Amino acid sequence: MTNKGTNLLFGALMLLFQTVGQGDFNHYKSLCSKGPVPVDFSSSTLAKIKRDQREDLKSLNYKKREFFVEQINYSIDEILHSGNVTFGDTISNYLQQLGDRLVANETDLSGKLRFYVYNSTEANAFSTRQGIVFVTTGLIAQLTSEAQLAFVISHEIIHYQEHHVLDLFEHAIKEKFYSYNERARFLSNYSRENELEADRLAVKMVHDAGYKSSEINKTFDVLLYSYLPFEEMKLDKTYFNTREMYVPEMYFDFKRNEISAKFKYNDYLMSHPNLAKRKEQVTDQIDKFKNWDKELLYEDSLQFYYIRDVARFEYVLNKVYADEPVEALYAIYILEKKYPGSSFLNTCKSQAWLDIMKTTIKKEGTAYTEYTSLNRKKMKHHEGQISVLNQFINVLPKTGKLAMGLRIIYDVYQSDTTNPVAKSCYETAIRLVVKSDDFEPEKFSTTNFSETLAYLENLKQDTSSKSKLHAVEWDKYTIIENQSKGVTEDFGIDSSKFFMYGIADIIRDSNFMKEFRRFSLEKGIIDKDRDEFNLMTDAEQEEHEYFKYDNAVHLEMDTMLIFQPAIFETTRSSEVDVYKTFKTRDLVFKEIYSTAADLNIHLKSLSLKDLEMLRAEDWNDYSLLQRSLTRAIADYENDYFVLDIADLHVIHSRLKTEKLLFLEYQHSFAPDLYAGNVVLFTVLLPVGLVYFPIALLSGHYSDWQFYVLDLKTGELALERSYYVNEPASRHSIGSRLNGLFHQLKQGKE
Amino acid sequence: MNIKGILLGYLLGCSFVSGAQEVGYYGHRIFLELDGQGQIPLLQNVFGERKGYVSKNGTLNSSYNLLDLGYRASLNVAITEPVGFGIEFSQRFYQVNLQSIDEITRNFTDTSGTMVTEYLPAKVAYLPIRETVFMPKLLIALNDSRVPCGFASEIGIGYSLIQFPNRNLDIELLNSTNADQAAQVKEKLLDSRAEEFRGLVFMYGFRMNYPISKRVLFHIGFRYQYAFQFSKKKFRRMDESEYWFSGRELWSKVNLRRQLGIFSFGTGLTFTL
Repeated sequence: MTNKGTNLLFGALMLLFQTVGQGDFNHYKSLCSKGPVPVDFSSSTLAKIKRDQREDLKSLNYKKREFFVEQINYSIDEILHSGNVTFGDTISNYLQQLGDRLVANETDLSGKLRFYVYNSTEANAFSTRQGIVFVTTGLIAQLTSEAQLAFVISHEIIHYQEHHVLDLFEHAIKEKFYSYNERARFLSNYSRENELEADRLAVKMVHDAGYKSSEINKTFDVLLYSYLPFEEMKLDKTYFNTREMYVPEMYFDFKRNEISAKFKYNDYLMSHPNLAKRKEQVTDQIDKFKNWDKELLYEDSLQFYYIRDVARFEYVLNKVYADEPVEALYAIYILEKKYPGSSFLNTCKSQAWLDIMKTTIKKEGTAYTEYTSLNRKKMKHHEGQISVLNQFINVLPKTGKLAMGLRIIYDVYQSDTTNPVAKSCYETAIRLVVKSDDFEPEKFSTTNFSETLAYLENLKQDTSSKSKLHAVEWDKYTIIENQSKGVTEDFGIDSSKFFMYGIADIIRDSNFMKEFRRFSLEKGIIDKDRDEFNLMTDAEQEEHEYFKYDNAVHLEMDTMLIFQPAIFETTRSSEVDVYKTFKTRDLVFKEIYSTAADLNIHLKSLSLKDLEMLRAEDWNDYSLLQRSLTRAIADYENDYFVLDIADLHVIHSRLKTEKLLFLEYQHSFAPDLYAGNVVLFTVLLPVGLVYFPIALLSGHYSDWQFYVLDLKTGELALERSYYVNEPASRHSIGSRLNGLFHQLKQGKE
Repeated sequence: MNIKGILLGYLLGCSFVSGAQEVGYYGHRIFLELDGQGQIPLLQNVFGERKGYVSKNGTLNSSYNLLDLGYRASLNVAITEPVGFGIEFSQRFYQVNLQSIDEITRNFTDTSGTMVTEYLPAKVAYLPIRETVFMPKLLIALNDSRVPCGFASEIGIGYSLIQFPNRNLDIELLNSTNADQAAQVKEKLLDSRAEEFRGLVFMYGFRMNYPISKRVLFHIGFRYQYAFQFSKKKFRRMDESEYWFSGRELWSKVNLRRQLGIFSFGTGLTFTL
């Protein structure tokens, strides 16, 4: 509770803070870890397992207790080390303050809880048995008040306080004679009970902290509609219009798709009860506090709105990284109202349009892609106002998408030619239009829409000219030619071809044309190679492809940055064997260093091997690279994703290494021997004599994935996967790495 | 070209193989394998034969036909990451039970032109066999394994030389204690024309190669083989012979024994060179 004077002072400070913040938002930098590294990050999983107090686990027998402790510490560390969690950043600090205030009266919780932001577009929050509460940026971006956030956090604190995770585990393992379906039903029911309990007790916590009751129930609205963008804002029909580009209003006359989410849905087998039940229960609970809204209430701090904007900027960034350009563009549209001209939003916008352009190019001449993934992406269903933007982009023809993209990216670059990301976007956009079969600069008008319109109007006014023009008869081919240029038979502009008049100034820009010709020459060489390839015999083509595949791994790497490998030892039931995983991880590290030393490759490492040595800056590099790698791996032809290029350059120049090696390794020993086939092949002994030895000897499954990221270009330089029946032994791993490192060290032939 | 010539040529060929590191184990493409092999001759005991006899302290005791051991040595080269080629030399020692019942018979025309048919109750010890095989083979790694590491199949066709290192088998006449008679029987026990047989072995095997160090691997695996024996026509004529075991009988018994011994176990070490 706070008095009015303090409130005013706090509000003024926050306003000032927000003004400063707005300045930051113009050159927004993604969330970064700051300050001392918390123990949650600097301790190894094995140390945490060892340290774990097992007092609350006495109800479990030794085996189950150890399994529970191992799995829970391992899985939480996987989240902490995912690159999506930051510490000491604005949001985490704010969450910590908020959380501390909520538990101020709970002496048993004092100093036990840690709060971190989890960077994701999903709206979610969760707590762990270790006392960590994660809240996603996606959730914060959607909330409309601090009270709602307080309720969500309180709900998670109650889960922790009431040991719900343990209850759930106990319940899950209790009845081993239940069928799978029975277990799922009972567990789901049990989980729903826990959720309702957490809601009930959270209401009290929010009340005690002095928040308004009216905000609590709105939290459920936020959760229900969190699949939508964070605001429902009608798309301005003139949004894309500039001095050089005019988009006819008819393109925004689409009917928006109805929002379909409902409060009452079938929650059978769900871990959470449906929102209607939760809302109803919370309303009843609130009603028990008769004088709630008459009490002196805590005002939402203005800091919340700043934090929410940070989360919204992260939302944009995450959507761009996730290759969801429509969602990103709509979020940018909303944020631009508050932060017009933000350099960050502009570069994100450029990248989102590059995504759209690239998707357009990919579809050219590839029948297979046309009807599969790209089509699914295109068909993604949107609801609410964003569906109008989606329909506008979908309805644009290929040339339209390319021209619109080029227009926007060009303008962003022109607004700040010193911005390296904007420049990279611009150059990439030119490369993309050059690559397309649908983009021919000579077909575009050299005057913009309004200039052309004025010119044609003048022409029509001039009777002599008009008669002259009508005297020229257009043959079939001229009509087709002119149609493609957006000119109608009556010398009007075909408004569906508005984009043909949208890049007039770009076409006239000699620098653009110079770059365009340069990339065209490069494309010419590629086309020539392709033509030569097409004229080869099947055998020659096969040999050529084989050579190309073989040669692709020769990257002349004398130095490399080793990124934290993803290593998993799994059991037959696909659970991670934590101890074996760490043993194999150490083995892999050892072999990496030993192989590199043998082959005289200079290694730099950014790994979580020596956690206690890592500083906040290292964690930030780690997060950045994790994010870039995830994006590059998700889309192998990543040559158009340039958003992270400036940051990668910084790492590149600091570490003085161009290539990053990331490897994934999963091993399990699971011979294909089950009761059924053991009985069968014992009866059919001659078959068994063949089957059993093969099953036993080939029971090791090792899956390798190697990725090389070029830090200069941000592109994935190599992707190789190997599936082998080998144990995870020192020399199995060593010989594999030896072969690969040797190949990587060689130069191209 | 004789075998020695082939081997010499192969060794020379191996020595010219490029030292490219991308293929092989830690860059070593040539590797020597030394194996022990054996089998419990299950099938012939179950389906093929009754118990035979082994000599112990001068007496013949009934025993299962259990001896089947051998060794292998091969020199191999990894041609590509998943494929290797090798030449293998192996010797296998096993034995054949010549008798179906405790009786030996012969049927021949003597010098006077009289058809002689004799039946003699007797026990005869197992006939030891030494089979020497020269086999070119291919090693094919499963999935993305790299020869010689990991799980691999092997396939080969070998040339077999089947010899009888001890033709002087112990016998025991059941109705006679006459040492001279026993000596006479031993003298004419095995057909001298059947001194050795030749044949082919079609082999498919698989094995797991576990690396021990940067130069040595341990492997364990199984082989299935189909044995083909030459000179069928020569030895399968219904000829008359004064030998108690004619060439025909020897050929068939050895052939049957080889056919039933299709499944063997092998383990050994691989040394990279």
